[in-house]
Amino acid sequence: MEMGVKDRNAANHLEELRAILLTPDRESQSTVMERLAELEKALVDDKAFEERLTPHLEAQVVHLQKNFPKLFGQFLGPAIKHQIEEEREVIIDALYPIIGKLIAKYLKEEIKRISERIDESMKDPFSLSTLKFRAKALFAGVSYQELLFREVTNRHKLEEIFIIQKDSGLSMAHYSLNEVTRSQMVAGMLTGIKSFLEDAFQKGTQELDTLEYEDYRIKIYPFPRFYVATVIEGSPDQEYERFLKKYVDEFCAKEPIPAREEVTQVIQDRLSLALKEHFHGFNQARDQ
Amino acid sequence: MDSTKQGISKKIALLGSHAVGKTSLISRFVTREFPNEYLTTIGLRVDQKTVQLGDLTVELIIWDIAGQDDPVRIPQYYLNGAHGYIFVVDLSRESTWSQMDHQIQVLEAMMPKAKRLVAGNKKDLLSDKELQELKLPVTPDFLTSAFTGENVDEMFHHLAQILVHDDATTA
Ligand SMILES: Nc1nc2c(ncn2[C@@H]2O[C@H](COP(=O)(O)OP(=O)(O)OP(=O)(O)O)[C@@H](O)[C@H]2O)c(=O)[nH]1
Ligand SMILES: [Mg+2]
Repeated sequence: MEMGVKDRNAANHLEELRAILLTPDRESQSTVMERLAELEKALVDDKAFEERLTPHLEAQVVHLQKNFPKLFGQFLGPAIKHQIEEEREVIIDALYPIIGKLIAKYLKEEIKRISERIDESMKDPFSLSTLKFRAKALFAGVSYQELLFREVTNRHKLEEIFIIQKDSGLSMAHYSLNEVTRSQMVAGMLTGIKSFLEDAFQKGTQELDTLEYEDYRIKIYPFPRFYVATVIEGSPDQEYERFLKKYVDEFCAKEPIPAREEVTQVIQDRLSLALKEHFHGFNQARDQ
Repeated sequence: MDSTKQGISKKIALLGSHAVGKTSLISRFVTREFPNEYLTTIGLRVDQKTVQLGDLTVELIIWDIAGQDDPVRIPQYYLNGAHGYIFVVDLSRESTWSQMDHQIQVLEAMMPKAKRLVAGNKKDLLSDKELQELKLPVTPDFLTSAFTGENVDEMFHHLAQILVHDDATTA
């Protein structure tokens, strides 16, 4: 067998897998359909095939679209696993952006919700802050919702900080400069993705330490029973990372983190408050 | 001063074969909607919803795990730390429940500390007579319909209740 062909096939499979798997779940099927449509187009472009194949193909495409999950659902898991084992290096590159997108989607939805909420709360036309904002928006030439959005998202470099119980993926504490409210969802997804990657690419006992997406970067600081995750906007240099790590270590040294226990509101409130106190001046301290 | 404010977070997982309605049940419970298109869950999706039980606020973090006919194939790391789980079968498809006793046994071994509920879903697709004649290897704790919403809230609330009462037993 020719290696070139095999490689190309592998690359194609990988492309396929990459498109199908681990895309934000609900988008996946449309990707499959798009691919089938593309495939169909490629084939019908060739005139010789057109007449003979089109009817069969259409029927097949419809059949596949309808039954994809039933037909292939159970094979996907083992297939990815196998593919990953075979193609570790390639797939790492392929997976990272997708995973990033998944988290980005969650965070973005959250940030959008917040800006909508703030917008809602500013509908009172007589409130001074509303007037100020409108004036500012007018001068800036953007909708004041957009302006608000920018204020919410761009003010700081360190955007989020989580303390997450390792096994359950429950958020034990969360401090956010964006007031992301569904933090448990983000913590759970992050933990699921982290475990998946560590399992798939296990290199000894190494733990995942960075995930990147768009202009954000999630740094993970592992401790035996919990981990700290920070979301940073922009690309921090090494000095910034050292500075942040020092902040995280100082926090974990002075604050008892009961990661063996049940995650209660009392613990969450105490730790979140402590996080806030420890980190609220971080960006300013950093800028000096 | 804050002693009235009690709350706790619990991780629960929804498990069962393909297309039994795990995602639809969660969607019904969390967003009050029934998704009208079947999009299979790939990997994992996490949702959250707060349940109020008297003075106690239970924050349920729900892990919707891709359907798997053979539970051994479910990555252990998705199940770690789960306080409870719901094993879902599709009442209208025997293949989803014929092996359920075995499947539950495997899951018990994977999550020895977790509380369990069994849901017989898609109740709306069966007549009363068909329901009575149905002989499942394990009797479901709840017969649900994500489509009509029947018993969905009740089931999640019941699980929340079991999770906060350590002495309670699973059915
Ligand atoms: N009639 C009826 N249909 C249902 C009910 N619950 C789910 N369905 C349908 O069953 C199909 C599968 O539902 P999902 O919720 O996606 O199933 P799932 O268990 O999440 O499937 P996977 O993610 O593939 O494991 C969809 O077509 C749903 O519309 C129900 O209570 N009644
Ligand atoms: Mg699903």
